[in-house]
Amino acid sequence: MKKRRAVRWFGGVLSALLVLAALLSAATPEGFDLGQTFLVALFFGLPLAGALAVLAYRLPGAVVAGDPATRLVALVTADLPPARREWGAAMRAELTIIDDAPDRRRFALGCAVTAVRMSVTGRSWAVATAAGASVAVLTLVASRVSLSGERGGIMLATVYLSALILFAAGAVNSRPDRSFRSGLIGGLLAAGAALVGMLMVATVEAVHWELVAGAFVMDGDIPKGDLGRVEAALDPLSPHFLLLHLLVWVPMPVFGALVGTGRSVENPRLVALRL
Amino acid sequence: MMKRDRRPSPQTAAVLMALAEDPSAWTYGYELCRRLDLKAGTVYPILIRLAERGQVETTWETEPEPGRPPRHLYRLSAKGAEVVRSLRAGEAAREAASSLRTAAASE
Repeated sequence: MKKRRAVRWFGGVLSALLVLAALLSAATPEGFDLGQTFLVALFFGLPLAGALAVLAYRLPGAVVAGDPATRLVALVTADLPPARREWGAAMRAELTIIDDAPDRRRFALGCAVTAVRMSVTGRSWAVATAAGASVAVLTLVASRVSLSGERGGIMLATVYLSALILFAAGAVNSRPDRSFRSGLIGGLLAAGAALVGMLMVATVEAVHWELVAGAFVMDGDIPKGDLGRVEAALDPLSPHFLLLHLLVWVPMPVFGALVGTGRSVENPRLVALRL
Repeated sequence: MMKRDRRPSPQTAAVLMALAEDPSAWTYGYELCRRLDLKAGTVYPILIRLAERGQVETTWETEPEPGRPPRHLYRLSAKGAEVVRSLRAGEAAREAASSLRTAAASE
């Protein structure tokens, strides 16, 4: 059942991306090569579809029938760390006795806040800080190495090497209590910190690139006209660069959490209660 | 390392006081939210913390309503009752000090 759901998610997302790529190709015949667009869609779509399949497989309790409040509480309490599962079951059970729809919504939102707080631990913050700092250092090193060499920009390093750091963050967060969810939330927190670290350094380095090489820091392109400092500094914040980073980064904590989790541990008390 | 003796937040104190109204009775989480007019996002983290410190006992309903999962129940432990006693003592001391100040100011 879980495997079938995961396969459905994988196939569905990948098909949707390929169809989207085909539509894009059809809509702009001069700008897109169909074969190349498919390859790009596959390159980015495979990890994304894989990550969604992993989510569907590892968080089966997150998908339940019911009103939005039931769904929300099921989603936020799915696969809590073993020591916290009892509390997830407690909140799910409590929701069943609330009849008033606004009350149910309020209670579910409160449960969501509690569940996120339960999953973010001191370790999550420490790993996120380390990830943010590592990505910031990586960005600085990539910038200086690239500037003194071929001046190809920093994007390859910030996108792909940082992705490895986020994979490790997911694994490190999920390992101690074997909780996929802890790895996922801690990894996503690390991704947020990495984005901040990367952007802080890249923005400053962008101005340095403008002064030294008159080029954009992300891809090393040289503009046709003069490149102003503000324009240079804003280059790392361009939506297409941010989207590219997020597309590659977001699946990584999911895979890291999966690797770090191994076999999940059942709470015998909850098994006995059939919760 | 020396453990700091921190005073509980007003919300934590409110939860403890509510449970202390009838220390032997088991209470539901949602019931506490309603009685104290606090959100679940405030009450549950407090209950979790209190349970971890041993100040609140937890159990599951043994005979849930048909078709519904068993609910989680909470009541004050002996350790929690001690905390409530010290909270009340602190409150009484503060009130006494405040009335002394008022009396001194009016003389």
